[in-house]
Amino acid sequence: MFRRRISTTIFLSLLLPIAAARAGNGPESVQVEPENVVIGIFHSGQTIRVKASAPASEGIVIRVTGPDEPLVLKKKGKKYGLVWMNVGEVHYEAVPTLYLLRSSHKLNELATPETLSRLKLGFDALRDRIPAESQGGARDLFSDLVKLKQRDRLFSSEAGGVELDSSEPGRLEARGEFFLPPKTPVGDYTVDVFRFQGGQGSLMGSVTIHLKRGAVVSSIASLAANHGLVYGCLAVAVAVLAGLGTGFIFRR
Amino acid sequence: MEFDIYLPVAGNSVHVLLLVGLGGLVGLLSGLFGVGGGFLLTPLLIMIGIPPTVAAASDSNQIVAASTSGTFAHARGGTVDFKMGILMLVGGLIGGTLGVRIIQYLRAMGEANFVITVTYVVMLGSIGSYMFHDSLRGLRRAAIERGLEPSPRGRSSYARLVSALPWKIDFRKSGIRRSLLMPLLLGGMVGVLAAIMGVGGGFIMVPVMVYLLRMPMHVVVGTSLFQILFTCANVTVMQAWMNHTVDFILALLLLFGSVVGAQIGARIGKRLKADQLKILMSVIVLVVMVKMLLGLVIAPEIMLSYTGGH
Repeated sequence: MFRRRISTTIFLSLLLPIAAARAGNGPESVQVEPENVVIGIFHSGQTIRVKASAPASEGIVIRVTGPDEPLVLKKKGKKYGLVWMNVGEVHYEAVPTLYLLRSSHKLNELATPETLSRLKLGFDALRDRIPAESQGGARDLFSDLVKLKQRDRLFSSEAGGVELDSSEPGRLEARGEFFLPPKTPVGDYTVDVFRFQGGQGSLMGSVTIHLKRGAVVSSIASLAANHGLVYGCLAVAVAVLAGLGTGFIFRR
Repeated sequence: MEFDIYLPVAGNSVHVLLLVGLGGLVGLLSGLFGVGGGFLLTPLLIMIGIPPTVAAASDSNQIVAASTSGTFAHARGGTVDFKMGILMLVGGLIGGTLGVRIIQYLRAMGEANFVITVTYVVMLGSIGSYMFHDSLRGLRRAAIERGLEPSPRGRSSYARLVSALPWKIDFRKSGIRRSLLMPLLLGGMVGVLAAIMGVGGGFIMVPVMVYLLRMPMHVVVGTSLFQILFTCANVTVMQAWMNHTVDFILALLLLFGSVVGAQIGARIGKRLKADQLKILMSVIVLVVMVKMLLGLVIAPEIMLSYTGGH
C-alpha cells in the first residue's frame, strides 16, 4: 500500500511540469499565442506572443526554431583577381529554417559559452555545430549565412527582447514577442523557454507552433507543384487574354 | 489598410501597389522600346525578396501579357512585320537550343559564370554605346528619318555582304528586301546570346533589327514584341512544368501594371522620333551595364547568396 502511494506520488510529480506547461498555472509555465497560424492570401507575417512564468531566476531566454534542413549557397570570390562573382558552392548539412532568439540579458551575462553551446543558444552555438573540415569553408562563412538569413528576417537575436516582471515575491513573469516573417516556410516551429540561475540554464517548457497554408494558397501551390504543365498553360492563357483585353480597352 | 499579398509559390508577401507599379514601369519600357524588360525587372524582384528562380520565371509570365498588349497596339498601327518576326523566331529557337548546349559545356568546364557575366557587360556596353553614339549623331543632324538609313560607314563591306546573300524576299512592312538567311542567322545569334545570358533577348534583338537588318525603328519595336511574346510563353510553360517556379499571383499583379504601361509606352513611342527612342533605350542599357560593372568590381557585403536566377 505504502509502495503504491510512493510510486503514485513519483508518477504525479513527473507529470506535474507537463501539466503546468499546458495549464499555465504551475511553478513553471509557457503560453504561446497563437499556436496555429494559417497562411491566407493576405498573410503578411504573424506576431507570436510568448508568456512564461517561473520561480525567481536571473534571466530568461526564449527561442523559436524551425526544423534543420540542408542548404546549398553560392560563394562569392574574386575571379582572375578582377571581378567579384560566384566561384563555388557552400554546403551546410543542417541549418534551422528559422532561428529567433530573445533574452532578458546579454547571453554572455547569463551563462558560459559552453553552456550556451550545449543548449544551442545564440549564433555561436549554431556555428559550433558545423564540422571544422566542412565543405567549401562553410564554418568560416557562417557569419555571412547569418547576415543572409537576417536580411530575410529568418534569423535574429535580441538581448533585452524579453520583459521580466518580478512583482510577485519568489516568482518571475517573462514576456517576449516574435515576428514570423511571411518568408517563413510552412511547418512546425518550436518555442523553447529557458531559465538561468547561477550560470546554469534549463529548459522550462516547449510549445509547438503550426504554420500551414489556407485553402486558396494551398490550392495554387498544389497546382503549381503537381500539375506544372496545366498551370503553365493557364498562366500563359490568362496573360494573353489580359494583354488582348487591355489592347481592346485602349484601342482608341 | 493591409495591401500585402501572399505569393504562394514565391513563399513571401509583397505590397500590391509595389508590384503593380513595377509592372507598369517595365510595361512602359516594353511598349516604348520593344524589349521584354526581364533584364531590369528580375533584379528588382529579387531585391524585394522574391527568390531568384521564381522572379525570373514569373517575370516571363508577365512579359507574355505586356508583349501581347504591346503587339496588339503596334499591329493596329501597322507596325509589326510578322514575316520578319516569324523568321527571326525560328532562328531564335534554333539558336536558343544551341546556346543552352554551350552553357552546359561551359558549366562542365567551370567557367559558365565568368562567361555569362563578361558577355552581359560586353554586350550591354557595346550595344548601349553604339546606339547612344549613333542616335546622338542622328539628332545632331536633325534628320528625322536619317537613323533608318544605312550609315555611310556600314555601307561598305557589310552592305556588299548583305547584297551578295541568296534567296532575297520582300519584307513589305519594313520596306526592305533581304535574304531569307539574314533573319534566320541573326535570330539564331540573338537566341544563342539570350540563352547564355538567361534573358529574352529583346535588348539585343532591337539593335540587331535596327543596325544589321536596317528595319525602321517603329516597325522594330512591334516586331520585337511579337517575337518576345512567343519566346516568353515558351519559357513560362517550361519553367512551370519543369521547375515549378512560376508564381501566378505575382505575375498577375505585375501584368496588371505592365499591360497598361505597354499601351502608354506604345502611344508615347509613336510621338517620339526614331533617334529619340534609340537614345533613351541606349541610356537604359548603359545604366544597367554600369550597375552590373559596379556589382562586379565592388566587394559584396555578404559573401554568400541563394542559388538560382539569371
